Amino acid sequence: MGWGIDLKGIVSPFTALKYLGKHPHTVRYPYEKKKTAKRYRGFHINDLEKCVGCGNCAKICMNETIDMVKVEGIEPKKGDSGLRPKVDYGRCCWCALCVDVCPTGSLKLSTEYVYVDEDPNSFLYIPGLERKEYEEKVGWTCETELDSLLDLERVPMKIMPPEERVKTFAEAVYGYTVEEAKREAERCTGCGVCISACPDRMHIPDYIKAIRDGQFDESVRIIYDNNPLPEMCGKVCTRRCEFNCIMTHRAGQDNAIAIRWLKRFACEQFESYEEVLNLEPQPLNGKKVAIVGGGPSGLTVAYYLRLKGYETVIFEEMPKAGGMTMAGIPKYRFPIPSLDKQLNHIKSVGVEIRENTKVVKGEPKSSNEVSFEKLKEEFDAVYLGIGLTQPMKLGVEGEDLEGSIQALPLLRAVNFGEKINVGQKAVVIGGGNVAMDCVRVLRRFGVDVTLSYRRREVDMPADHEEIHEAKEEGVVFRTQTIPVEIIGDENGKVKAIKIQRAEMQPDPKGGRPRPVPIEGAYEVWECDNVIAAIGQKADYSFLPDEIVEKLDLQWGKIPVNERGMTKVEGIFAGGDAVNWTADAISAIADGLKAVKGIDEYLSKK
Amino acid sequence: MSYLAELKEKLENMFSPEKSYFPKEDTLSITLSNGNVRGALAYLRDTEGFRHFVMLSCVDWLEDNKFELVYIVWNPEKKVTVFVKTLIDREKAEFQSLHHMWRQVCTYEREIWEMYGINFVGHPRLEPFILEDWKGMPPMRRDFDTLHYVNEHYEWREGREESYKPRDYIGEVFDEWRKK
Repeated sequence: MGWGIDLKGIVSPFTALKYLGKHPHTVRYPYEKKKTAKRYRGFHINDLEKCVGCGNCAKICMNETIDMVKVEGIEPKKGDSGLRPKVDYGRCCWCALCVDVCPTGSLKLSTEYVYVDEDPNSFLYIPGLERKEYEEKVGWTCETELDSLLDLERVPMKIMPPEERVKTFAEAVYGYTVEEAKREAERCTGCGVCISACPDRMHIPDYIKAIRDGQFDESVRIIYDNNPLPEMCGKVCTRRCEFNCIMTHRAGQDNAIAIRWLKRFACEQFESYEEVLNLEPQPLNGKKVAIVGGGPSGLTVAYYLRLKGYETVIFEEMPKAGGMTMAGIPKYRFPIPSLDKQLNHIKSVGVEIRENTKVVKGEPKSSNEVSFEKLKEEFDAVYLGIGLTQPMKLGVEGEDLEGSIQALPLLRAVNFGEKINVGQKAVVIGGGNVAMDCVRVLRRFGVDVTLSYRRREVDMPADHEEIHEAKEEGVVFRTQTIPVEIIGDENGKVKAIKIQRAEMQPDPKGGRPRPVPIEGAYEVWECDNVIAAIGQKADYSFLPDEIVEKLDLQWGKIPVNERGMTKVEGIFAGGDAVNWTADAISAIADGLKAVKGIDEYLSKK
Repeated sequence: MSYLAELKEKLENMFSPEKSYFPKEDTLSITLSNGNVRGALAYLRDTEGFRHFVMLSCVDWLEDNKFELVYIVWNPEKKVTVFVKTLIDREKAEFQSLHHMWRQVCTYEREIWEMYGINFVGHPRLEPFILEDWKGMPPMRRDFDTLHYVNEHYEWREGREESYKPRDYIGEVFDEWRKK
């Protein structure tokens, strides 16, 4: 090449101009940003409303990327720890396991994966609270059951078929086998959200973990830490824990971890608890506590105070302790040997239970009676675990006729093996668990039972399982019916009941819909018995009047302070007569509260 | 009878597999003894037309003390997939290299060697691939403690001091409520 002008070199670049008007095959103009893949795993998105703070995401993360932190404006409540995940993008490897174990489906990954900033702290953020712009770009999600790493199906519990159930008072639920229980326990992620709903704050994840590991004795020891009647709870607990189990968000109520059945399983592994627990109660410290009423709360107080070295005596009116779990709950749900096993253990640590002993005011009239004043004098503290023993009445005409009875005395008679007098057809009024127990017991006596409830079935306070099982057993449900009059025959016996149909109308105050009677919509049902199961109240007639006055009853309940002490010094109270939830586990929780209270009170004295 | 069902029968007669089933409609999974893997793959490739080697994967069955190698091949004409699986001892993690059958097997085997520590006998180039200066247990083995590794190798960023375990936090918070 010479030094002359290279004409070709100057001209040839311009030849490219001929492509100017042509459509390009490679690069798109104007520039189009390519869409990210649909299931891309970018920055996290979290729906803070939906999230329950279970911490599964933080637990599974192999890089310790996620911290569970408090977030302003989100308070802990039942079924929600109040914590929310915070992600450190210095560690996240975008594996999305956190999304795959999210029980609510609130945690997702976005398709956004580019973020540039000088401040390293901005790579640490709470999804859902910050960087909301990602929320529109949803990438990796875990919406179907197949995607989830959680085992969403409960190990089914074997139950006696309904046609067999109605013939017997034998226990209807068979319980898990070892293999089934371990399999069920394995489903639990141990988040502990259930504890928020348990009145007694039982150590649920811990004892389930012990079952999973096959350490059933350890499991029982953990359970006995704050519950002296675990087998009862394992069979008949209202199980608020299960309703707040994180599994319910995705799998529905029936697939919550079977916490109740697992507790039952652990307790049923042992013939007696003495050897498993191997407790040594502290030596007696000379202080005495009297407990009126041998129900769950009374037994709890007696048991744990005795372990702390107090001499405890339970005064029980009925021939057997256990309270409503003995007298109220039918034996196909909670058999007597189960109760005996627990009572024996409570007695084995030195608790004295005086059965058939009624506490009365004034001078005792027989050897079976003790005066309340004497208890107050002889003992350093008194605990009232009296429960709700007086059934409420319907307040309609004809209630005094022969054959019109209340559920509570009926159940008590059946449970203590007394003869009952019922006819061929019965109408039970109410929609709670007592009503369910009552109809199912009557079915076992071959009675044709109709259940009348003034609201809808969804409004019934009874356990949905109980409702389902009652229906299986052939109980006829007539909802939105209000009893108006009980009609008698010439001998003064119940012949029929007159009811009025009702329709549901929304409450103007925003409460739950109210049943309003439809004018003229009367029906008469023939029956031999009308049984009211519409609630019960406490009986304070055994207390001296001045004490009842000092207790300052509110809506029939005894107000207590945070240590279980009533407004009368030295008298503590708990159980159904105190709390509004009125179930066994709340009674046990009240008992434990009073144990602390009594212990503090008597140590100062 | 569908093609895949026929194929299943044929393979069963030829290689007497320990287990064979259809994980999906267009997929056959077949578990063979170690010695039959090469023969089965050659048969599938040369006679049945499974020309495409999709991938080689590995599963760590820690509880059974086994590794499972999964060779996935695809037939572009019939549009069906076959998983050829075989179990090898976890203690003596070793298998013959099949790099001469498909060239890309070479890379897959190198990756499995690095991630699971399985020695492929006859492989031309078993050397570090993705991991840098890796010492100790291969990271994809299930007994590898990721958490421990992470905490040893990465420092804690400031601003992460606040962290609660939900189970303990709930215990504290709700007991506090009860005390009120």
